[in-house]
Amino acid sequence: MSCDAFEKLIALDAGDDLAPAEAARVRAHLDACAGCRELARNVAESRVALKALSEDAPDEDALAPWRRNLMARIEAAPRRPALGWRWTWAAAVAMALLALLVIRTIPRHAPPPPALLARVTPPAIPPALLALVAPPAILPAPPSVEPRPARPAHSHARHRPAPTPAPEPLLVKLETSDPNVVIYWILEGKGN
Amino acid sequence: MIESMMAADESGPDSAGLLREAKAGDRAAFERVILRYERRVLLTALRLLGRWEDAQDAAQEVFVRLHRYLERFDDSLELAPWLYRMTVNVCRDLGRKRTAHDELDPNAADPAWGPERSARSAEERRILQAALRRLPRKERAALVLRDIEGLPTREVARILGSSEATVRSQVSGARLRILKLTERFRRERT
Repeated sequence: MSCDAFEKLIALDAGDDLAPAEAARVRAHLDACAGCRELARNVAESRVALKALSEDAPDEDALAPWRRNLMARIEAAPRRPALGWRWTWAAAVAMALLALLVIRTIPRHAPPPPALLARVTPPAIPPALLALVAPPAILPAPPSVEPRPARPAHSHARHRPAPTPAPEPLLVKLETSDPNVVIYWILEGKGN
Repeated sequence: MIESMMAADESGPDSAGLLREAKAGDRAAFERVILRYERRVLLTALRLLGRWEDAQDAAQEVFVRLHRYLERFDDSLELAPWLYRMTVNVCRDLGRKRTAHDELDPNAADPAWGPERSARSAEERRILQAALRRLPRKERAALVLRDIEGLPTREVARILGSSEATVRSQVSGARLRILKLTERFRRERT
C-alpha cells in the first residue's frame, strides 16, 4: 500500500476513528515511513487547534443585544399548539367520515338508461321491401351488365369505370336494446 | 451523553425540567434554556457560516423555532441533538441564500469575538477560520461537529442524516484539506 493510500487512514487515525485492525496497520506504516509520521503529527496539531475554537467565548457586550432581540422576536411569534391525542382522534374521525361520504356518493352500478323522450312508430314497410329484409339463403346474383359499346380511344375518360345500373334499394333493420325502438335504413346506393 | 457534554459546566435543573416549565408558559425558564445553549449554538453557527452577523441570525432562528414548536417537543428526547440539527439546517439555508458577492473575506476577524489573545494566536485562529470557510459545505459540517464540537461519529451521522461511513469519509477528507489550506495561508502571509 502506497503512502497516498494511507493518507486518509492517517487522517482518521488522528481522531481515533479507525477500527483496531486498521489502526494497527496504520501504526505499522508510520513506524516505517518518516513522511507519513510528519503528516500524522500535522493532522494531530491541526485537530488540537480546531478543538481550541470550541473554547471561544462571545463577548457579553455582543450577546446582550442579541439576547434582547431574540426575546423580542419570541414574544412576537406565537407558539404552535401541540397536536394532542384529542386532536389526533378528531382528525382521524373526520377523515373516516369524509371517506364514507365519498364512497356513498360514488354509484355502485351503471346509471339507469335515460328516460324515453319519444316513442317512434316505425313506418309501414311495403311487403316488397320486407321480402328484401328477410335474410336471403343465398346472396342475390349481381345484376347482369350489358356489353359496353365501343368508345373512341382519344378521351381521357378511357379509364373511367363503366357506369353500373342503379342497385335495388336495400333496407337495413337495426334492433336496439329497447324492443320498442327499431331503426330502419333504406339505402338507395348509386353504385357503391 | 451530548446533553452532559454541552451542559457540563451548567448548574440547576436539567433541560427537560426547564423545557417542561417553559411549555407551561414560564418565560424565565425558556430564557434559561437559551442561556444554557446559546454559546454552543452561536459557536457552531459561526464555524459553519464563518461570519458573526450570520451566526447571530442563525442562532436566533434556531431558538425562535424551538419556542414556536415547544409544545410539540418530546420531553423524553435530548435537546442538544435537536439544536445541533436545527443549527445545521438553518445555517445550510442561510448559506444557500448567500450569493457569490457575499463571499467572505478570509482576512475578516470576528468583531464581537474574543477575550484577550496574543497576536499570534489570533492570527492562527483567523487562518483556521479562513480554511474552514473554504471547505465544501458537507465536509465543513462534519468536521465542525466531529472535531470542534467533539461529537461521536454516530451522533454526527444522525444529525447530518447520513451514514457513519459517509461522515468518516467527509471528516477524513476535511482534515487533510484543512491542513493543506492552513499551510498555504501561512505561506501567503509570511
